[in-house]
Amino acid sequence: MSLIELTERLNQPKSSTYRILLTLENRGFIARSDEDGKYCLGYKQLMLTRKLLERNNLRAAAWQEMKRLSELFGDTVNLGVLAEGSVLYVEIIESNHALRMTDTVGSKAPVHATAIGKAIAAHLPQGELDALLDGCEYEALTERTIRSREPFLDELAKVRKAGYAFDNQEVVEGACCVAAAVFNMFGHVAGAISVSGPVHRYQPDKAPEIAAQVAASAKAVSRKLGFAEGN
Amino acid sequence: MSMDASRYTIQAVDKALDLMELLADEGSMSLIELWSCWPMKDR
Repeated sequence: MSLIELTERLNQPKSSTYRILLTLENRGFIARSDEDGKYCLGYKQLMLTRKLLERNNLRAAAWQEMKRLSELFGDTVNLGVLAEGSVLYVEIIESNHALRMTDTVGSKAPVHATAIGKAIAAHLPQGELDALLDGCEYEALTERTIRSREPFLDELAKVRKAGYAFDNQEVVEGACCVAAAVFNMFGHVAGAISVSGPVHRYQPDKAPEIAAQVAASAKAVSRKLGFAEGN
Repeated sequence: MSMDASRYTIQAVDKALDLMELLADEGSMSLIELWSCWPMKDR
């Protein structure tokens, strides 16, 4: 934009607009185009953005919410991303209950059976989802595991509608998990956060509250990553 | 805008940019930590 355009849009005197622009330009926050001399964002903005992006990674953004869920329910809290067609656990806070679900950071789990896998898959762009499901073997881990594409697509539709995903003893008999997707600043699914534990703690009287809290945490983490709802 | 007001505006812009660069370098800082970076007259 030119100085005149900026002055009009900001509705303030040309002299003070110019002084502010000069200060911003001297500090590298704005620059002038070589072609027409108009003002545009400067390299310093890029440097600040880069530092922000470096720090604002998924694990750092999710940590406080993971701790909150851990303190609230006492069950294992997991953070997972999609990697090479599987769920990769990138952070875990273990349950303090004697009877608990345990996984290790860096371990992988199948997308079609886990709540994290469903939560992520439900929000993938169509092309990525197709590619993911083309490579899915739908291994039957328990009697409840979804074993083919069509029922899995039906399940993903339910996940999108509910805002969270549920694994009802589909990976391990007797174990349940609730997950919700986390989105980045571009609106792409970045991963999912989940709470998992033994089935008796996920009965119909308890599960909705856990699901609501997991969904709230996922939203909070998404906001930290720069996701604005509706974008 | 008077010369004084203009000068203060520029100082404020300068300080705001200092603040952004400081936060970019440090990641996060408390208000007390930020205060300690500025002389009393500029707070």
